[in-house]
Amino acid sequence: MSDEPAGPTLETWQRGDGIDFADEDAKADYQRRAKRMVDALRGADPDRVPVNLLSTFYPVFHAGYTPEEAMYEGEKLRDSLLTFVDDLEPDLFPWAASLIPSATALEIVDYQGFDWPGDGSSPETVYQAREREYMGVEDYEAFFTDPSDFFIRQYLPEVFGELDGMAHFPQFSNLTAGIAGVHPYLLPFGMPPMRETLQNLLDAGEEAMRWQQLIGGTVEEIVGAGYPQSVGGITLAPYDMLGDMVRGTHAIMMDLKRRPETLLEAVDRLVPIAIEMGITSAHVNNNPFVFIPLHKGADGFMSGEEFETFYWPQLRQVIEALTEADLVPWLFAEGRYTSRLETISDLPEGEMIWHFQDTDLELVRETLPESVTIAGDVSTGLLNTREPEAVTEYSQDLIERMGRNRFVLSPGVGLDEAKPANVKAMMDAPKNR
Amino acid sequence: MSDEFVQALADLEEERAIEMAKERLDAGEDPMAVLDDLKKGMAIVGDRYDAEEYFIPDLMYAGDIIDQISDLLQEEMEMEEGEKLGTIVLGTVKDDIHDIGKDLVFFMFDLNGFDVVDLGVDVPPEKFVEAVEENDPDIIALSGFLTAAFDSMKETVEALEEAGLVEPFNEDGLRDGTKIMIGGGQITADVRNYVRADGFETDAPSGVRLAKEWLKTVEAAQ
Repeated sequence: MSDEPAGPTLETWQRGDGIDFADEDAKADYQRRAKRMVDALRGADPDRVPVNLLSTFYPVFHAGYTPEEAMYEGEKLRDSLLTFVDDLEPDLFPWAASLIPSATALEIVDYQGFDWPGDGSSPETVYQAREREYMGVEDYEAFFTDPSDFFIRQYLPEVFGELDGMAHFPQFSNLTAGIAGVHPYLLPFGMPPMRETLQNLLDAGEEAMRWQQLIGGTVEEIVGAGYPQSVGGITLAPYDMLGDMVRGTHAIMMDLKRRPETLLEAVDRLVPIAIEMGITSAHVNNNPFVFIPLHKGADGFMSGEEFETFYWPQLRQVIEALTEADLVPWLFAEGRYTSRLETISDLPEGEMIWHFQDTDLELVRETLPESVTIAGDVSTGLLNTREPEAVTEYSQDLIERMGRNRFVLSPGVGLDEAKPANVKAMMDAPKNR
Repeated sequence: MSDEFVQALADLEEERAIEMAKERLDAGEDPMAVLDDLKKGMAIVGDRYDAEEYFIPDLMYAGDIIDQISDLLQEEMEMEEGEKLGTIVLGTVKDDIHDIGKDLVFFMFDLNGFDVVDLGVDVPPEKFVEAVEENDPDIIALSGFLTAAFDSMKETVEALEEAGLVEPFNEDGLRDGTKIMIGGGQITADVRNYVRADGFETDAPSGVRLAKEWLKTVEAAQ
């Protein structure tokens, strides 16, 4: 047996294993940029501070397209990504492509979880989560009995308007009856609602494949031209996994008050699912960085005691399992995390990045273990409303305060709109110091 | 029973508080007395949120409890409006559908005795103009979570200025008359300047404090 881990690691990422490079120069460029990031992560004196433009729609706005165009016309999204890289020559290629799916595919299945441009929100605006209650209180029991069965037969028809036939999806447990279970297992697939649902899935899948070839192909082209991709995997804190798209914001907060024991059981049960999601997505995408956006544990969203019961222990288990699998968790602490810093300073060993929107980074540096890499803070207010000189000054001062090791200069959020000259000023700030 | 009821509300003891409200109404007590206690209990909830003893889930829970008791009271009486501290026109600006922050602001202002006209989410500038014309508020509160909200807020302020509903922005100080407050997770002093709002806050209790300060300034000037 080989000692090599089964999946990607920082070493395989830095070497560019498995990447089809355009030529030797592209490979050298890739490795130079990747080394900068790995050196920063390991406190090994990078040649300069790396910059990561955590972004969703910024490349689209940068290229002069609307979010609606990017989601409906893949060629325009492709052009956005290529233009972004040509104009800015980033240290890391952002994960934007995976966050912008085909709106046509969403339409075919009538996805209810978000409003997207052309489907409820304005053509010029990014998509927005609806955060409704997709799983009722009465469904907890079904969820506990068999989470997969719950998601297939109850959750899917609730969240996708054109997949209501999934309510008739036969239970796999029927097959334990042997030949007597086969007929009842097959029967629903012949019924009209199920046939329609399966056809919708086939059509949406075909569109997703087309999108993947075009957009996924563009990302491969960009990475092969010498730009390492920032993250490849994704998972969520178990509490957010339940709160964002299953129970919804209001309902999970009511669970915190009305049925804490049930909620705790649900959050605990989601830990192995969150771990599996992080490891699988990193392996599939051959990238050790696993993005973990944190939503409902920020200051104000629960008490310290609740954070230490319902949020942190489960998230910590996910972080620990990812680092044990040689992966690098990239935690994005949206909102403010000042009151959480003491709690989250109890971290497992291993490389990881903590990315903050609105938390004093110097306080973070003082509180979290020295081995943690810190990112974020540059505000959208600054990037949208000020002039490039102000952005340069702010960014360089931040670098001065944070030091060259274990720091990644980055906007505080997943960037959508901003003045291109300001974004360039931020990205050039470490080069021009 | 009055003190116990206030305490049950303040401690968010849902079943007990609702049961006590029912008992008092069944016993023929004046619904106005129950309403007064409801306000007292919820004022304590607001104070505890302000003191960071309670958090957003507690406020939402309190909101659910208030709704249930208000339903009981409405069966018994026409709700009467008391003396109001001031009027606020509130909404999440155009192209933004986020409502949690906006709803918390509503709750906190309502608890503190303001009359709040809530226009909802994705509110275009012309709807703000109409509501301001109709309600003559002391404060206009614009909420937004997205970066797209920066421009929507700016357009809203411009529309209000063009309609002559707020004074032009004076960089040396506050506008006279109706003032504009902005709030949301990405709002900073830079955004306030860009939008030309009179002030900004990123959490609901601070928004209430700022509004009260503004009202005091107006009173002092009169």
